[in-house]
Amino acid sequence: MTEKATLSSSASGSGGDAEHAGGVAGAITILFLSIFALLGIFVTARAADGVFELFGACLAIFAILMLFRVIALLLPHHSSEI
Amino acid sequence: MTQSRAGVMPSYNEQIVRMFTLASMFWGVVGFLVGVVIAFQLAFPVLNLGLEWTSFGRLRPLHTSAVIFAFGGNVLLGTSLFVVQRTCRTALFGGPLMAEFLFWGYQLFIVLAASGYVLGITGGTEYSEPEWYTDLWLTLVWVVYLLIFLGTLMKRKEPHIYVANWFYLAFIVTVAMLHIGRNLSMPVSFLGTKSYSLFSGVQDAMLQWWYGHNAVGFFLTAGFLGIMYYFVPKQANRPVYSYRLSIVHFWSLIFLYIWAGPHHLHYTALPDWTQSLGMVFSVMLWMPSWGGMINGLMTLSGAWDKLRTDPILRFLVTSVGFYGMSTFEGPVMSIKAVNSLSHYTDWTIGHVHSGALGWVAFVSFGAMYYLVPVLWKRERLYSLRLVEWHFWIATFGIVLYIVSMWISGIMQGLMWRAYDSLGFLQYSFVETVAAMHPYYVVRAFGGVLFLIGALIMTYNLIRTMRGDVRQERSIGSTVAVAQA
Repeated sequence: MTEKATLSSSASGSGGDAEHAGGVAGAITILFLSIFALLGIFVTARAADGVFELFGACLAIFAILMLFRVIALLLPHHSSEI
Repeated sequence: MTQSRAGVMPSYNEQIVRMFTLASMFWGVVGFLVGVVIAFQLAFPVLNLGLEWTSFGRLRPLHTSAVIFAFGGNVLLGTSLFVVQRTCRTALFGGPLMAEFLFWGYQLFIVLAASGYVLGITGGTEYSEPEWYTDLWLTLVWVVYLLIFLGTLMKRKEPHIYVANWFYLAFIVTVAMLHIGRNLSMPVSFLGTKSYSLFSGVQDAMLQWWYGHNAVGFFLTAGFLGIMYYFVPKQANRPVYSYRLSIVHFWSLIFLYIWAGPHHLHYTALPDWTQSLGMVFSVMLWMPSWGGMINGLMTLSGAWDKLRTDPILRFLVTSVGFYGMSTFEGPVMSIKAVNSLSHYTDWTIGHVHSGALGWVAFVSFGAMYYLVPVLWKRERLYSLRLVEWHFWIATFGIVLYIVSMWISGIMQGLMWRAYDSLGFLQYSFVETVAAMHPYYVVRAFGGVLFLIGALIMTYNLIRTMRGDVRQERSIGSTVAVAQA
């Protein structure tokens, strides 16, 4: 096996050079999630059947919750230490 | 960053692997439980409860999708993200943002698919039942998965791409191709759930089994071979028996598997030459399958004694054995003369479950038992004795399951083709159903045992995550060891 890495990892699990992914990537993610949230709300409002309404609601809830998560990931870690 | 003898080491994203491991445990129990429910429904139809939402027709795709895509999918995504980081010595491409989108996006796909089945929304094609909106969502999530995996490979710190990553990559790329191909459809309305396939008749049937068989080949085989090639050597603490054989295994398997789908359509309107092509390629699959099995088993050369004391390794090695058995049985069943007896009978169900329970689930259990102490930074599992209990209970359950289905299936096929002296069919259809009843009860009991095993595993893993260690005798010795 080629593996040479030890079992070490960051305790938080978020790691490496990608940990501080911010700026452009974050803005694009927020943009897409906002579109998903609006799309979900639109689908729920205009759906032709009940299951499609459920789909729209799930999509909107997912996008909104992910938005909060993305914002939390993008904020500097010390920002939560009031 | 951590300093090691290899220099500055990257901080791996293990949080995402932990999340996938937890999701695997949850969906595994859900999938097995629904399987037990529908097994009892077949034996005792009153358990359909007279409700459309709890009828066999709706719960069956819930079971298959829960075990294949929810349990198996979460295991594959989690282990692949674990393995690719370790073998490339780099953190995941895209960081926690993309990884968490992948995790929650995949769980949303599962919820959308499952809720659709129970509420009666289905495309009607086996293993690709979700409707167009769920398919579109999965496509998006899968592209993110491919980007993470490929990006991580591209920024690797190791010059070599370890063979497990080749299998994972084949799984990701081919499943994307199959998913898009099978689900080409036209929605009736962009604000409604219903859609129709772009294909019809025998073309649609061919497309379905090109998809269906390669879902087995690339989701349930190639991806789990990636698990085998990483976790068997790690648990046995031995190198892969033959790295060259693993490369031959990879290329021959992916070349041959993609042609085998037509064996699901023997004696149908599909052109005869296509059926024969599918049969021939299926038989040729013996070579790479057994090459891979031998490679996995021979990795234990010089370390067979560990099977006495390491129940996790026992899970992994038994899974490789089941892989060999089910990939022997599959080509036999693809031969047209055999297929004329086996097709549409419970023999197929037994065959599928020897692969699904014996190979896919057992190799997954082995990987999860390996992963949890590593991911939660525990010295060892809560209890190896419970792993041993899980192993024997689940193995006994599988044996009951597949033996009952073999007997039931062959009996069913023979009863269908039995004629009396005047040339009339000897048995009515309902007589064959009545004859199968005792075997359905045995099968359901086998499923219960398998579910109990999974519950034992869940308990063991949760206690391990909490940092508990059970005081117990070490396996293979009579000396009590105080570990607490």
